[in-house]
Amino acid sequence: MTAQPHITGSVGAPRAAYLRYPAGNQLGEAGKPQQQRAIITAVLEAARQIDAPGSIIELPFRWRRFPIQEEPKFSGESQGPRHPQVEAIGESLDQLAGLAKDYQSYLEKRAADAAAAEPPVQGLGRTLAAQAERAGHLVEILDGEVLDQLRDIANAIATLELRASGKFV
Amino acid sequence: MAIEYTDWVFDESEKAKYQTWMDRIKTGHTGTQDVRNERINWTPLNKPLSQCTVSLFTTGGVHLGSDKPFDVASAHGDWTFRQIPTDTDTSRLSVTHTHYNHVDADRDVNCMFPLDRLRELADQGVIGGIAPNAYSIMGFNPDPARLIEETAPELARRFQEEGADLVLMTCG
Repeated sequence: MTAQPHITGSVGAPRAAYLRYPAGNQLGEAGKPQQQRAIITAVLEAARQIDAPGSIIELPFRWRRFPIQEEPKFSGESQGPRHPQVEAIGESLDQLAGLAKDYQSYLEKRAADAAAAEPPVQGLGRTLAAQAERAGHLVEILDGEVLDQLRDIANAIATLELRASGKFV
Repeated sequence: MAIEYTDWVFDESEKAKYQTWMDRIKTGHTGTQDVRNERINWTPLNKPLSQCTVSLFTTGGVHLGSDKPFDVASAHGDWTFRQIPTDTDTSRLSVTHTHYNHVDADRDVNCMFPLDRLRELADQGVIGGIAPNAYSIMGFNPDPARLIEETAPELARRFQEEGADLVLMTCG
């Protein structure tokens, strides 16, 4: 499994599954066996399916848990960082991605209606379908790159602050 | 369960990302070596999962609580490995690593080292079985020379000797 596919790809690993989760959560959240089971099953299935050396496949799960820690129980006193900004951005991002998905569905329905309309309006169905596709791209960006940036910032800060606390080994 | 996989594309921007990362690591850690496989070692998996003996390996610094912790104080990292019998109660495991956030793993190691989940899959017959031991290293090794020369061959030998058809590797 990899959390950094650009490293895995560069060093020439035979096969890998990329999950857009933080490094310490490659199998999911603590105390959520069902989620962990879904991920490990998907990873083992991927090991069966990958048939080209060097392939990296991406799993469809997304990390949506902000803040990145809840009631930490490790051997130390530090409670680690809690950044309300990250929580707020995370929640807003979830909402934005949801709105974008709804809009994509709406445009897809409009496109299907336009394609079936009698008499047909030339080009309308095609244009709506193209815009629905762009809305899908918007979902991908929000759900992929933007979410990754937030996750990586939050995770890097948490690791640094926990290390600096001297209580994190 | 039908899973929708996507092929992750290793394009020029991802290659550049690696280079940027490596340049940063070289600045921050003396003795860093950029070591890559010259060719991809590939062993096809020719058995159904239900017949596979699966082993587990992590770079996340997991070890038996009673075992010697990894050396996180050394600027050169720690190339040694720890053996974890796969019948170990996961509450007896500890994590020693200072380069990622393992707060969750401290509470439930399965979110990074899924030993309980693997045992359940074996009980359900999804996988054929589990190898007798899992292994762990602490992934911070700026110069991986001894990791490559000593640890990796020894671990490969053990995985083979213990009958692993498939090794699930997780990162810290």
